[in-house]
Amino acid sequence: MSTAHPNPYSPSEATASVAAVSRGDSAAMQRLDWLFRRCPPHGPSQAIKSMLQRFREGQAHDAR
Amino acid sequence: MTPDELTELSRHMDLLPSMPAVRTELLLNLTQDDVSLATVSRLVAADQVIAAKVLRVANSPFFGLGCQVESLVQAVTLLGFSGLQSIALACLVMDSFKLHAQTDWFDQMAYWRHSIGTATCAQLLAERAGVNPASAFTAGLLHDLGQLVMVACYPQRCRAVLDHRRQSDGYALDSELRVFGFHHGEVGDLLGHKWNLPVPIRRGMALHHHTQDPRACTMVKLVHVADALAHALDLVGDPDELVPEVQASAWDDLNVDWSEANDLFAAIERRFHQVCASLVH
Repeated sequence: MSTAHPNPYSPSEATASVAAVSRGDSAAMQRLDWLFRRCPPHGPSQAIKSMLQRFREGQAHDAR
Repeated sequence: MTPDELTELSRHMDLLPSMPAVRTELLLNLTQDDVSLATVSRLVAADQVIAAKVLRVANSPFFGLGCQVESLVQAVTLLGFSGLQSIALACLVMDSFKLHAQTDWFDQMAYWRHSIGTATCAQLLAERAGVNPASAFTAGLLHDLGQLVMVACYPQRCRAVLDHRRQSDGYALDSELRVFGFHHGEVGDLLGHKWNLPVPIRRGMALHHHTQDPRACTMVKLVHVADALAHALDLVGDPDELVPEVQASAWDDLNVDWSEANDLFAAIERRFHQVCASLVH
């Protein structure tokens, strides 16, 4: 694991972090940032990320 | 890949357990667009392991058929031809690639979950991009098969790839190039040639990280986006997960209407979990 990009998620926490993404909380949005860490901040990768943020927020809203 | 590397890899691949003739014929037929239902049914029926798995999947909650499927004829009627084609292909390839204990450090279940995730993304994207969904599922399922061949042929060097990837926090492709000098796409292409797979599926295996290549057809671009989407949706839950960059030209060429992206993502997640529950244990 790189020291430049420390992974805050241990293997045992991975499943929990995926569930957190579904709840749309701030840790979940950090996980999205983590997943896209090598992608440029423009273009199709960012389009996917933006759509996913809206999708997860929608899931969180429905869950409430 | 240099000619010497190609020769060495071919020699290693020749040492892998070969598929029985009936499976080779089934694989070939399952990956063709113009194969008849009668042919696939006959070939599936001839392989008891595959036939039993198809029936088990057909009876899983994924299909919600509401009745007991007891025969292949009934399964075909209920699942449709493309459903049978996709399930039989997944069962066949997964059953044919079992790694030995020396590679227990390699998470084969995570590998298959990513392959099924990419296949699911490709299938649902294909419906929106005017591409044959069954072929897209196949291309997605097989896209990383070169990785599995590399693990089977060169377990020690692949372990070094994994270590390098973790230390650099980078992409598997870059670590493969660093350790081997070639990557899983080239190996997949070789396997596709050996198995006589249709050209678009071979291209998907070979070029899904290289969509700028002049040989990159629509299927390559579809697999490229599907692969990124499977990583972005975090379907495997790998703590070291990393989304590959999506090339703008591939994205634009697919011309998918993303106005209903929420419905698409929800459908992908639902179908992925259902298929995994049936195929990956």
